[in-house]
Amino acid sequence: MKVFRLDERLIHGQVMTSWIGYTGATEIIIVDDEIAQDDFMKLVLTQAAPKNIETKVMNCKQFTDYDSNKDNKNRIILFKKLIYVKELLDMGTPISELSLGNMGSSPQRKKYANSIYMTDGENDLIEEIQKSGCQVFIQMLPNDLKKKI
Amino acid sequence: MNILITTHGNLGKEFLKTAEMIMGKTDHISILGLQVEDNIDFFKEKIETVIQQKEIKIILTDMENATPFNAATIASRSIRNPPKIIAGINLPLLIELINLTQNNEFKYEQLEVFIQKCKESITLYKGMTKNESI
Repeated sequence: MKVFRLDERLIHGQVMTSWIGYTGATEIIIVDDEIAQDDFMKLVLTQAAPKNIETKVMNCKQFTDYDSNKDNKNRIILFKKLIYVKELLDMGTPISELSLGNMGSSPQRKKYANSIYMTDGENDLIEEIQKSGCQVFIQMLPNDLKKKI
Repeated sequence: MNILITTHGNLGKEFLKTAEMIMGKTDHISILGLQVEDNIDFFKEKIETVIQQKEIKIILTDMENATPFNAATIASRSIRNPPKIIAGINLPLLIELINLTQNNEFKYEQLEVFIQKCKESITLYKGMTKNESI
């Protein structure tokens, strides 16, 4: 099972533990062009993962190469930013569903749901992503109802 | 020596309030709590601002590798003399640290010894059991 998920807090505590249990994932891949070239950030973020899970940080290009080796590994693909979801779709990665966990509030963002705040630009991106055939929904934990955005 | 406590939710605020019940008012401790709705980058910026404005030397966080801890490490990387970051706040630790930092004589080098001592504050009470083993 492959789960594509956007959560700005990336790998965090109980939430990630539930998703790992649900998917049976043996690896988590963070797809982000900026983090992929920042060794310090990579270290900080991968340290947060449970010990038995392999964590990788890749840029979009690296991920599409990696993902095209068709294997049946269960994995969680994590994003911090919507632009990289869009980029993967544009590069031809099939993503049928994207679950949104946390997009936090900041002065530039408007509230769309509990723990989902977006700028107008980000909201436009969601629409573009949905137009590419990827269903976007809000879901904190695997057993929560999928809420339409 | 100024301290910043950064935790999940209002834990830090309550820790300080409680410590002040015991120690009296302090004026060198800042608090930042990460709320469910907070944006991590914005939270990191808030930490950065407090570090610079208050010349924070020590950051206390509630849990290693959790979001407030990560935000503190990321915020500190651009600071010239980055503050020391301690994970795993508890009340004895905070009280002891207030004691040590109220006058400005506390030295960084003492921190490791300090933390070692604080670990001893977690104990298993054996007073009620006749048998040493549980």
